[in-house]
Amino acid sequence: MRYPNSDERDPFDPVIARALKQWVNRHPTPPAIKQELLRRATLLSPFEAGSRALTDSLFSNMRNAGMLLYRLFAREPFFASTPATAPVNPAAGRYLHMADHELLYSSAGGVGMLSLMG
Amino acid sequence: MIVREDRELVLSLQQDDLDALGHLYDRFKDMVYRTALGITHDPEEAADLLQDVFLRLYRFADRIDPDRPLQPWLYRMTANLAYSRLKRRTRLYKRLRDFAYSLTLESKPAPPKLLEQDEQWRWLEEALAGVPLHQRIVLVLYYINDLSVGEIADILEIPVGTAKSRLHYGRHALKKRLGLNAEMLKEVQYEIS
Repeated sequence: MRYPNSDERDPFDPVIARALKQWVNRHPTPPAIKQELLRRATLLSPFEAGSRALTDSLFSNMRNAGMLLYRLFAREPFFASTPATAPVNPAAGRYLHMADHELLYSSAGGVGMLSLMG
Repeated sequence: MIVREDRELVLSLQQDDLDALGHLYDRFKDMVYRTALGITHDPEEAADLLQDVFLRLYRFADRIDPDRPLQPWLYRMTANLAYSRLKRRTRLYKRLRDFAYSLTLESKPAPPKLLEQDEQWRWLEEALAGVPLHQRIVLVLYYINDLSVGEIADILEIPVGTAKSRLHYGRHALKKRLGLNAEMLKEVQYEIS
């Protein structure tokens, strides 16, 4: 048996190619598809645009929420502090601690602000 | 008539230009349809795939690099979608289709000669359908689309050696099913020359 990875050409190649081409040529591309495609694409367009806008808005809001928490509770940059660092504002300590911990954890997991919202 | 380049059309498509989608469809529809038909051996399924491929082209246009040829992307999408669809198709579904097909044949008797030709083409379809799917995709790209083994490997994102191997075993399986053997070789060579 021949080695299957060789660059062989088979003597039957022209016969197989011709038969398969003739077979697919018996089925011309249906003409009505283009109209249906464009109709569906037209319907898709506002949905896609809306979906993109929603996603952008969601991430924008999450980023804003993160910045708000930072301004309210943090006295040091998030990543410079550790859970052992005592917060300046005792009332806010729990939140700072949680936020701090979550951010440190999430930064390792690569999910960014998502855990802050959770 | 001004022929717009693929790059320009893809850039327009990225700006939600439906006209560009229409131009790209006109340019590549036959290529996609033939490939889908070869893999699925089902005109209806191929028509669905044709539409699906171009809808995805529209949806994911912003992920396409306009400086690279579009054809490999279309081939890849067609092969991947056909592969997923055929894998989902259950045996029961196939039996139902065959049953429906037999009913259609019974209700509309065709002229004997036409029926004979149809039988020959069905024989070819069945031979191709009997080749394992991953080998069939390579056969379709090689024989129907005239792509080289290197191009096929690039499209399917597989090593060249794997593409060659799939071509080898796919061709072997198809020849066996078609009954092509060494004894017929002289006759075939005579016919070609």
